Amino acid sequence: MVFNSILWTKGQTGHLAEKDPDFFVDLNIDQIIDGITAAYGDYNLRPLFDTIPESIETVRYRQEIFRDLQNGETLAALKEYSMRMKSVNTRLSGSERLYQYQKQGWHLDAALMYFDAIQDLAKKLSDTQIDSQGLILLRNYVQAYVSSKSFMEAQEEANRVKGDLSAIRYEMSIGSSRVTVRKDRGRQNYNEMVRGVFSKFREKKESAGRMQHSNDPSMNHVEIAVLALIARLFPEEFKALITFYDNHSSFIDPVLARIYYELQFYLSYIEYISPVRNAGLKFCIPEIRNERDIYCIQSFDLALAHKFSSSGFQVVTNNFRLSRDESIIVVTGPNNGGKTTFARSFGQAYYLAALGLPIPGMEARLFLVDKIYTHFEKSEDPENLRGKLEDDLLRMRIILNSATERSIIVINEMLSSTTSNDAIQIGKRIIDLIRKKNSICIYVTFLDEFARIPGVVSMVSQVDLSASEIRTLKIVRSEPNGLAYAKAVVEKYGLTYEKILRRIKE
Amino acid sequence: MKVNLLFRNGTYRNSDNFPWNSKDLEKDLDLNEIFSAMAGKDAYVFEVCRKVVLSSITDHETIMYRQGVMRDAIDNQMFVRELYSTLVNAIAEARKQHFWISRSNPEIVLHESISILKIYTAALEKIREMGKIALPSLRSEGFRQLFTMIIDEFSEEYIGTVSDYLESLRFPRGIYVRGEIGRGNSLTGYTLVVPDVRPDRFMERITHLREPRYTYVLPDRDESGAQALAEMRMRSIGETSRIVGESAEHVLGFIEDLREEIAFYLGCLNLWNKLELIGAKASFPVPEHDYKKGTRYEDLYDVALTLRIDQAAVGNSLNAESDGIIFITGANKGGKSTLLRAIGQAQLMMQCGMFVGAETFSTSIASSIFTHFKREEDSGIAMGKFDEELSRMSAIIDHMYSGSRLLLNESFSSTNAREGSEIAKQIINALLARGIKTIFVTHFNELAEAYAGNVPRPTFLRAERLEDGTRTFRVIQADPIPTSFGDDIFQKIFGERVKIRPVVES
Repeated sequence: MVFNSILWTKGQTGHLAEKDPDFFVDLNIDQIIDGITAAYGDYNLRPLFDTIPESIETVRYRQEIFRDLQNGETLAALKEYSMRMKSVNTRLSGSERLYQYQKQGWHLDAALMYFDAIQDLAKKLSDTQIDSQGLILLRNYVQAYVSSKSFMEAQEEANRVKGDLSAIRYEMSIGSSRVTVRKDRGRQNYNEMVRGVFSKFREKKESAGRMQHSNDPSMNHVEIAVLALIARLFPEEFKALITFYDNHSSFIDPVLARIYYELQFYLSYIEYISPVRNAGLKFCIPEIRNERDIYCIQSFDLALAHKFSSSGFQVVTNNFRLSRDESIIVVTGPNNGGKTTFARSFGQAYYLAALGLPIPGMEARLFLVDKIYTHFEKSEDPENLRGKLEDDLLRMRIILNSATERSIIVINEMLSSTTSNDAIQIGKRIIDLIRKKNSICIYVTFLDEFARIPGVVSMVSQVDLSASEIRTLKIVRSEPNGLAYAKAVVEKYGLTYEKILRRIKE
Repeated sequence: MKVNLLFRNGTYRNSDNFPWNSKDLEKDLDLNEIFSAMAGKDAYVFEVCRKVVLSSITDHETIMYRQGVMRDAIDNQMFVRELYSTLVNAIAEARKQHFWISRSNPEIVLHESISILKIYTAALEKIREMGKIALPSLRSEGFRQLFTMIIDEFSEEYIGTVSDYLESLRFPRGIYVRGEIGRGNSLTGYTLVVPDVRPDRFMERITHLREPRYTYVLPDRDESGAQALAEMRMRSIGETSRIVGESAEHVLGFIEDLREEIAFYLGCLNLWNKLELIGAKASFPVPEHDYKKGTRYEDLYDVALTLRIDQAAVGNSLNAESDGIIFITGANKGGKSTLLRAIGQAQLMMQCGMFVGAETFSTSIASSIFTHFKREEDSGIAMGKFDEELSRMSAIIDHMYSGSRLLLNESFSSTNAREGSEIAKQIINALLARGIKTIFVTHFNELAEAYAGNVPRPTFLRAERLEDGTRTFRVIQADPIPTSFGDDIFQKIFGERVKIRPVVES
């Protein structure tokens, strides 16, 4: 088998999606993907995150790799590889426009970095425990590559050329209109002397505005001219450089270049979830099955959690579970935003799992979803209520026409502009229809009546006044409870005896 | 090179790290009046005193350390004032000539740094000579250490060497560097080497006859080339400029630190003199680090009030062995708030190392100091008065830890007495349990009474009112009596009596 991908078991065959699926906005998945790809704009990763792979093997192929990446060493090795490949590309892409000697200098540095990167990767991959098929294939490929004769010879030559150049020392005197270069005469470092005299004044270590110049490899045109003079002082060294450039114009292996791109799918996601993880939230690789007995423990809305992670806020996590014969969850409770968030986290879990990604939650079992449908209250002004109800129902009918028993339907406050009595009657009928389709549905509503329909799973958001600033609330399985709790004001400010005791640090 | 007049070994940094409740402290304890007296007309002294007074210290040793310096300052007023004006003049002169505009241009930074160092080394020489004269009459560790250091570190010889270097750093003969070949064959290194002292062309021709060298001469009118050369020069002296620039900044830092710390003691001197002029006695307090020590004072008065009315205010005395909870009750307008402020001021002044407005004063050091005063006006927030009070209290609880002291002035009076008392009781009990001392000015007599003979051994103070109804503005140690005197004031203002409903229904 020819190895050429760490994303697809048989190499990428189908087409990637050209735009975000419709439900992205409703479930805030667009925000998640924006966040993931924000720092990876150069790679055009979005199509990868927009496309659900068709085969469960591909999902597992990716899950296995993610599992391997839980090993810090493996992850570090691949991150390092990616970072270096990025530098290699940056160096090469800029070098073509450069002048003599500078151009070849950049090319040489890029090659050295590439050789190093690959060699390091080969070594690190063989040093760590790897179980995934994808990474095992990668390891074998890289190992064969670095032990090839052509690789080794090229690397050796590059090192020799670089070493000779680095050993060069010259002295330069800079006046107002001329620069003179000669071989170094070994004069004493004047800064050391100045530093010695002024040391008394410089106990403070916090240096203001350190000069960045010394590491800046760009050159002005005088320096380029001076470089040519230096090349005359040291002709052997520079001749060897030109030879290397001519003999090794393209040195990057095409398969490794592709792996470098695909790797960004993994790295970008891991980077995106890492602040959320650091905030104390859990992620897991869900068990993917074909049956309908599903659950997720400590699920949460990833978009929201990511937003809060920087501000130290921790979002509330929730569990959900549907046994084999359950298919509809009705979420009711006071209007604090917790319900919608819960519904979103449900949809997100399925989508992220279908991409083969680790999902929010401590532990989960899901099935491979074929399509996700959302029906969210549109925010536009309901000028024509009749028209709006019509539109609502039309959208619902389209969903019901194509949903299957492997589909997820997320409904948020549908029919809210209708009179309650109508809404209840219509809603019950729709729930009935969904049940007949046997799709999984999560239905957010303020109408308790839906939650009382026999056979649906009722979940209710719990109000806690003391936590009223935090917008996500605990949602638990329970009888619907229409009461909004009015707790004592003192309780709200945390000024009871017990609360004060708890709040004050010893 | 540390000033260390405020902390024995501390780095007193110019951080503006006021306690979060400094606004409340200033307002509730009428501190601006005191700061103004300390400042005279010097806005800088005002800010420094404000900062030092509000940033309470909590260790006994440092308080005593500052008291020592303060006593020296009182005994050597002329010396302190002369020192301060020398510092102010040096800083003003340096500011007049240089603005530190271009940190990015090392040539300008170097040039400016040289000039500034010349001004400051001259000031240091002057201070050194002043110190030599004053040293025999200085007793405090702080002052002695500082001037011994200045005399040792800035000897005539050392300042002479520095001056020589400052001359040669103007590079009259050009700049010489040693370079290397770096990334992308860029010219790097740029290590400044000892410059040629004078061009001896004949010698050079002989010794380096066979040494090849090449010169690049800038074409006429190549302006960008001239710019490029300037860049290379800047890069060459970047490190040097940084060393000298940091030295200048550090010396400036030292001079500014010295000015800042002296400014505080100068402010204290001003206040000391003013109180003396008014005829109000000030004295050095006795801080106790044992939390269990009570509060004792004789002739304690409100410093701000004294300054405002320009005459000695009524003094109060107390000897309370137990001060976990002190209730101050009694007649309205009878001096309760004034006493509370006086205690708060004394506590703060004690904890910055100052003298206090009392014949004697002693109490335990508070780990931090909080005020919760009834607010007359609405703070403009869309919040009920009661909500506002409680949220302010809640914020205080968030910042509290054991060993704090809380001053309550008619807190929780925006609700009825019964509710207010209940809330206060919960809070006081919890604070007692957490080792926080509270002084509570209140008209909740029933609440105060409930504590009489109680485990925490409360101390009761009462605003005195004589048989004939006149107020002495003295607050004496006495159990609470269940009447308020609001009708007196009502009568005074409206000229008629009014039946006042009992605050606490019995």
